[in-house]
Amino acid sequence: MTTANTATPATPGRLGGVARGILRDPLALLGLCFLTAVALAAIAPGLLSPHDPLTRNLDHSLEGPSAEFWLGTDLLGRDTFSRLVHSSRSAVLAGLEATGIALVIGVPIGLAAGFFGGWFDKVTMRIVDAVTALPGMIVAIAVIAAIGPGVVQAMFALGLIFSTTFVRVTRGEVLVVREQQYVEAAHVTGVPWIRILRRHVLPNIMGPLVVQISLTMASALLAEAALSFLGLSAQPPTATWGVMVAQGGTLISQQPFLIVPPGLAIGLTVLSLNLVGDALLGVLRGEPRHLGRRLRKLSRAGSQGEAVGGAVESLAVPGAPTRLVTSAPVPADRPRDVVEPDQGETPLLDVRGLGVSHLAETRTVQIVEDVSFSVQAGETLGLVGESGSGKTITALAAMGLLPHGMVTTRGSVRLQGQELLGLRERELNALRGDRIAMVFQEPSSALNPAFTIGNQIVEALRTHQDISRKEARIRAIDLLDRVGIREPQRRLRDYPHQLSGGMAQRAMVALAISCDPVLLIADEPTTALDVTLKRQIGDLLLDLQDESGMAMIFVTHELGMIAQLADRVAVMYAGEVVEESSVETMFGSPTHPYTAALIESARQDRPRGVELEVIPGGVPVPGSWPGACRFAPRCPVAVPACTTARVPLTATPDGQARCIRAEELLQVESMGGR
Amino acid sequence: MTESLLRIEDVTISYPARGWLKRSTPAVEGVSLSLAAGQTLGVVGESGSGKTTIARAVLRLLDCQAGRIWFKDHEVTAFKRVPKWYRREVQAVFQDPTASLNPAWTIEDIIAEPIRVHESTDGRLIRGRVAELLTQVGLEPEMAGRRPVAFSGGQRQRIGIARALASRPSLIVCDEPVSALDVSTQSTIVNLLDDLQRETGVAYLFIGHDLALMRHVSDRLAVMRHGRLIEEGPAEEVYASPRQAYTAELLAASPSLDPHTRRRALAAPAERKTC
Repeated sequence: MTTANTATPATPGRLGGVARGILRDPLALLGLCFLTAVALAAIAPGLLSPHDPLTRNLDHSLEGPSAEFWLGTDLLGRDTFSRLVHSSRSAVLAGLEATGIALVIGVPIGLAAGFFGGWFDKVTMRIVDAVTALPGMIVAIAVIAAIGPGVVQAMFALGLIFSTTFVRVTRGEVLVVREQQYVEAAHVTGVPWIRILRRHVLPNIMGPLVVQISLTMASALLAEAALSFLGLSAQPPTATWGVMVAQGGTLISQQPFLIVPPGLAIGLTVLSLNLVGDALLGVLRGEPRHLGRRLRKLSRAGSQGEAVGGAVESLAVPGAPTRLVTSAPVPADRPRDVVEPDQGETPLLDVRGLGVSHLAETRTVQIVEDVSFSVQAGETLGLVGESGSGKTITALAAMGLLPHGMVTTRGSVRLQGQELLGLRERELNALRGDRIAMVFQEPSSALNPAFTIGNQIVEALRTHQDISRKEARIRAIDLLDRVGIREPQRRLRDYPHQLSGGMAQRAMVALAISCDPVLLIADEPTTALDVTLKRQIGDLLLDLQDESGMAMIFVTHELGMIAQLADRVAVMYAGEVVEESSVETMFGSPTHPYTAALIESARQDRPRGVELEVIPGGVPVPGSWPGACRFAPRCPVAVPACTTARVPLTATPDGQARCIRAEELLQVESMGGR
Repeated sequence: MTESLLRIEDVTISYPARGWLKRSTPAVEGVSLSLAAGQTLGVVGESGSGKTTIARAVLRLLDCQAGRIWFKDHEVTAFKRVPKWYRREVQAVFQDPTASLNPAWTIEDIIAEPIRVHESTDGRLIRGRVAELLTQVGLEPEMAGRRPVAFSGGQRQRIGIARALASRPSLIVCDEPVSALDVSTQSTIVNLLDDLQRETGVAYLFIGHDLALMRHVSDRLAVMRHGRLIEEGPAEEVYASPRQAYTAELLAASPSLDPHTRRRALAAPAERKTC
């Protein structure tokens, strides 16, 4: 994705952010309060309990709740609330013991298994599999049968069993972290492995571990209660919540309320632990919780009646763009020709005054501002810019595929005269993959790894067209053949991971053109490929365009590809279009100083020793754009007037440019001065 | 070239076969290369040509099945455990500037790691060195407390370069260090690498796929295909008059910045005008 730092998941290093995330979740906050109360009761029961938990008072045997005994009394007249408070210590200790043992055994084994792999990993995981296959309670009961009943023994047994979960979680996380390039970089630096484990691996797995701890505590509490109830854990007079439930059970006919307080205490504690664990998981995964409402509000307030409306909540997540072709089924009798393409007069796609904002935690940041361009049928528009210029976001906005947290605030996007902004998600789905299609930079992440290539193309075809599975298969073979995949029949049964980078990109193109789109948006389709494949994919796209007459938007930072493929070019810088012209004019006599500098910096085939041309400074990030001309701080020909007022787009002989010195520079150039 | 810093002799590397009965095919076969101190050897090829495999073998992240790699007078392929001095002398800059920096660490911690391992754990000395390195790669020393997320792709690659320089190596393996960057950023990073070579005399083993850029960065250039060395020679010679048809092909594939060379006809500029 071009725009960085959107919806950043909390990294494990930033515990402050995690805490804030939990505090913002009311349920988790409630759970946290309850857990604090339990912890307090466990540490200092005397502070909370109104009576001595052991004082017998046979006058008040088996009473219900009253002003004196808040939760009633038991058979011996002891205050239930006080007993509950005092026995919370054993509950907490039991949970801590089981979890602690599981942690101490599970984490080192998981670390070693994940980090070193090999035979140790294989043997460990087989043992873990075997232990996991056994029902935990039965094993605990067996261990107790061998070493005798008691809380400590019971929790030791449970800890052993729970440790397998920790082995699994730790190993899984280590396997992910181990493959990170920064761990490789540490190896190359010569960092000893123990230090790599401690400094790189462990901090990264803290998050999932904390979640696992809270869930294990809950399981341990429940198991302890169950074992106590069976008389296998704590023995009277030691009161645990499980023992209290057991005692209440025997007296249920005389005082049915007796069983309620300890039952509730167990239930609420487990629930609280789960709520907190859940919230932790959410925060660590970076799931935004209350964004939906703000998004809706903004899209309603900010637009000129063209709000994205209902579609906002289900905005596409980056990295899961397969949605656009495999989404909800659409009625087959949908009218295909909403507006006839009108050659020459109306452009195929017309984008006017498009604005996109990102809703950050505290403020709204403009990402794309007042972007306008149009594409004719059969034409290729190059959308060029550096990272952070907003080119990808512009393309995604046109398809209604903005990542979560971003919203179209103004403007219009018309496809063959039909307004796309404000369409419902269902209506957009009917369009996407049918009349508009998209090719992404990373075919490996855009193709669904769980389905064969054939499956995905057939699915796309049948979503948009009323054809049988058999017909769709024949079409799919034909499509793979058209994109230059050899032995298409065999390749149809391949999964995406079985294809090489170039092949996968071809398959992605086949998927995109499956329903004969009138507009193909290609977002950096060749950036991840090497030069030979770049050329091949570029040629393929041109061939397909010649055959079908579709329009194409080619989004890229690779100027060479633009020179080879595009008819017209829109250059973007810091969220706005700074120049729009034919490809010949752009490379031959660019108007905007940024365009000229960009082209110079791309001339890299200079001999050794000759310094490459660069643009000094960097692209300003959204939110810190200069008020007037956004390129002025880096511009070699800037004058004081460049920093006073916002620069409008003005007409040039072959398009438009956003530079107050445009005319002047053109004249200098025509005199051969540049 | 008499005195070579790095010598790769007839090296063959295969990845272990996946699954039974499948024979492993070598990723690199019988490749010999040599690099003099303070110079740059460019290795260019398509994906799957084995160029990255060579880089990983030099870094001893992979083992060779046959052949030898020499660094100065030591046989790298004979190391049972890679000695600390080799890790100090041979560093790496990776392709993905984001993935190669631990997101939870500050820039100072990232750049300080090689210093801590190889030089000193003295806090003040480390802070001084980090500030010096940041300046050297064109970043503000005041940025040391920030995390990678606060930096752009090009800045992150600068941080990666600063880390590689921290142990004062004599060879840096650059595995496609600019492929993931914007064109304009690529040029600034390449200029930076050039400057640093002039200042410190470090040698680069530079892996890349764009012959045009490789011509600029390399003293000598090696072209690889399907795990074999196709041609090797002074960069300017390989670029200007390739001896092998494949090298010429690779050259032609590089998309030209001149739209007049393209296959589709250009529309006459006056034919149409938008808004």
